[in-house]
Amino acid sequence: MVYIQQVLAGDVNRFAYFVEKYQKMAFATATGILGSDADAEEAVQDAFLKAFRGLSSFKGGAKFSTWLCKITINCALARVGSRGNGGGLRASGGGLRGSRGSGGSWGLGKGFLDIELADEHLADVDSCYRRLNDQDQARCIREALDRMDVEDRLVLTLYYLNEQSIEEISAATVWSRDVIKMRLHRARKRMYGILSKMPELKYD
Amino acid sequence: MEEDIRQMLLKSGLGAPPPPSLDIVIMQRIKAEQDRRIYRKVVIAAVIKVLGVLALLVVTGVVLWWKAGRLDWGEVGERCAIAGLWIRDHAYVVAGGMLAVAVAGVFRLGRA
Repeated sequence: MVYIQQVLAGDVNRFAYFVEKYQKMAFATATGILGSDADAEEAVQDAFLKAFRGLSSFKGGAKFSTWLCKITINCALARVGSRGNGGGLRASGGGLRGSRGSGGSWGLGKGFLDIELADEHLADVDSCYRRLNDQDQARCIREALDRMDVEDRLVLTLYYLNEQSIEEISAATVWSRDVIKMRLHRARKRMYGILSKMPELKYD
Repeated sequence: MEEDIRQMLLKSGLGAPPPPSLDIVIMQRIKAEQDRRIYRKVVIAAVIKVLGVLALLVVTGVVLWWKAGRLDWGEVGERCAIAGLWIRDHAYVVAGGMLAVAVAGVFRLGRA
């Protein structure tokens, strides 16, 4: 709060503290939603600028990181919206929206994202995945993420990469704790489901 | 499984660090925003001061004119009436102008 007061008093250089501390988190969040590094960079710039403009409205009720994360999500979703893929988070689970891929590269139908791998097959996919070299592993994961919807990528990014708690994710999004838990569970299974359909990772 | 997924996501490049110049670009944009704010405040303050000085001059002139006994209230009333008629005849222009100023005030100056 001391830094915030100093920024509000006109010492704009103090804002560099927040930029340095939270740019990695904001960039990971934006990349999780947008996929492209260039778009994410723009979204993060917009988010920090919005945070600077609205700093006087930050009352410290939530953590600064959570507040900034919320702004970053909104900026990134606005960019998704401007691409014509919808522009907001759904309050509950179900349905599909916002995947970047066409879904056609493996001869899969429109509803392929609904594939959620049964628990007993997770280990099979995992062992096939481990047999690939690093490059192929990275490519497979990137392709799988490209074919997941925005909400799934976002929840995985916030939870696994930013290491935010369920409470923090709930404060930064429109989702309740139960929805987040369900989304995490489904996102993991969907990711494995998509991986299981890749030719390199077919286990049967 | 939790750690596996974290490693998978990291391997995909999703958790890659931001470009090294990102913080510099952000700070440049923030400083530019701050400069705009200051400029806006300076301009508004200057306009208010100029209007204040003009209003003071007009009031002083009217008072001096009145004290000198050269102020014809009938003529002042007549001129006010002419101005009132002009406003009545151009009501849409006046209302539009006021609305434009109000909108500009809310959306632009409000950020200053």
